[in-house]
Amino acid sequence: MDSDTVCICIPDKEVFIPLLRLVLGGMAMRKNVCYDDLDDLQLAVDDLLANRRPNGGQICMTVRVEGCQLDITVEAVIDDELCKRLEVASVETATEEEPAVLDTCRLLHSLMDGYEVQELSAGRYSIRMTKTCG
Amino acid sequence: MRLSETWGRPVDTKPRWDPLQPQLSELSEKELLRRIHVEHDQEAREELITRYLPLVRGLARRFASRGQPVEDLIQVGSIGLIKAIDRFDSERGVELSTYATPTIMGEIKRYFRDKGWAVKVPRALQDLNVKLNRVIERLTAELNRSPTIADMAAACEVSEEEVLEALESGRAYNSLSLYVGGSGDEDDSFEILDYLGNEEGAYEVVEQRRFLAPAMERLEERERLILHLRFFEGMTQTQIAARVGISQMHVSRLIRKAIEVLRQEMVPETEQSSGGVAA
Repeated sequence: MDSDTVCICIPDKEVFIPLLRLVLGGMAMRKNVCYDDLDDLQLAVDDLLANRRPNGGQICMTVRVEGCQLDITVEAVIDDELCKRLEVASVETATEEEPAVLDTCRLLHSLMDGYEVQELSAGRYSIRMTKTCG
Repeated sequence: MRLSETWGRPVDTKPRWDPLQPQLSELSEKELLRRIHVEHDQEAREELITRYLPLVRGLARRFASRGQPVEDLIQVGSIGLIKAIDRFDSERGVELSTYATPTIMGEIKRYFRDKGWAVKVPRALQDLNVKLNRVIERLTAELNRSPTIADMAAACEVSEEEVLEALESGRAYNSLSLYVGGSGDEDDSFEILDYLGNEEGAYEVVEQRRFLAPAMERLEERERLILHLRFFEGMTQTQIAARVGISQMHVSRLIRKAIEVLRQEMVPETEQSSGGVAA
């Protein structure tokens, strides 16, 4: 199956974050993703990046589209503790008995079909999120 | 800004009491208006403003929970009242209160609009953003699904890139505001005000859940409901919009606003523990 990939790297500054949303929107647009799904994708990336720890480096985002599936990989310096929790939560299934906690883990769980976390170097993580649209 | 500063002309404070003349407070509204417009009587104007200040206060209080001090809103609304009094034409056959209400509201909305945009966004994009809000709602009903960017572009007769830009420009808008962009014409904008007073039965469902974290108390009932439906019941924005009775774009804004509020509240806790907001 054909796949298309777009990569963008931006300075780790708030003012450049909208560029990521526009690229995400551009890719979603070309795959006829509906507004509901597009907003989910953008919110997931926004929330993840709200937990970043800017160090003067770069944020890189790769969007890969294959059929109806979008893979979004974000690489940035992100809060260590959050990434550890994401790592655990990505392979766990929430149970009804657990208190429902609305944090980034829950947001990603609701907005995306799945995600995985990989530590690239000290403090710099790669978070790959997938969602099937349409 | 003080109310008195808006009147333009100095107020004559010399007493003009005449036992043979009725007190201003005893005069009819019609007579006060005649004195204002024919005799340019400042005291009559002041009297009429005073009589209508409760209306201004009442209207301002409707916006009380929207992030701006009520006193500021009363001052802004008072400007609308003064404009209404000065422009009122008795020959039109309507009551001053009928005429003044939209003018006062318009002034308050304009205030929120001006406060709302966090960064400079071209007016054309603001207008397209407002238009998209309605178009998304209409297309969702017509297509029975959430519209694509291409659907929206076709409906608005603009390019898909323009739609993306307009949607992005909406992020620059402070969602605490009542006004979500537009040309400033009261009839041509979508406003939260339109939904004030709407009740949603399902709020009780959310209230029954244990909101363990104080952060949740910072949110309005409707925001808690929307977060619950989206992140714990798995409903889509379109479904939530239909259920709560607001537009999909508005749901999106409220979700982002609520998450931002929670995030701000969470900062100290996150530093101490792994945290999270119980819902």
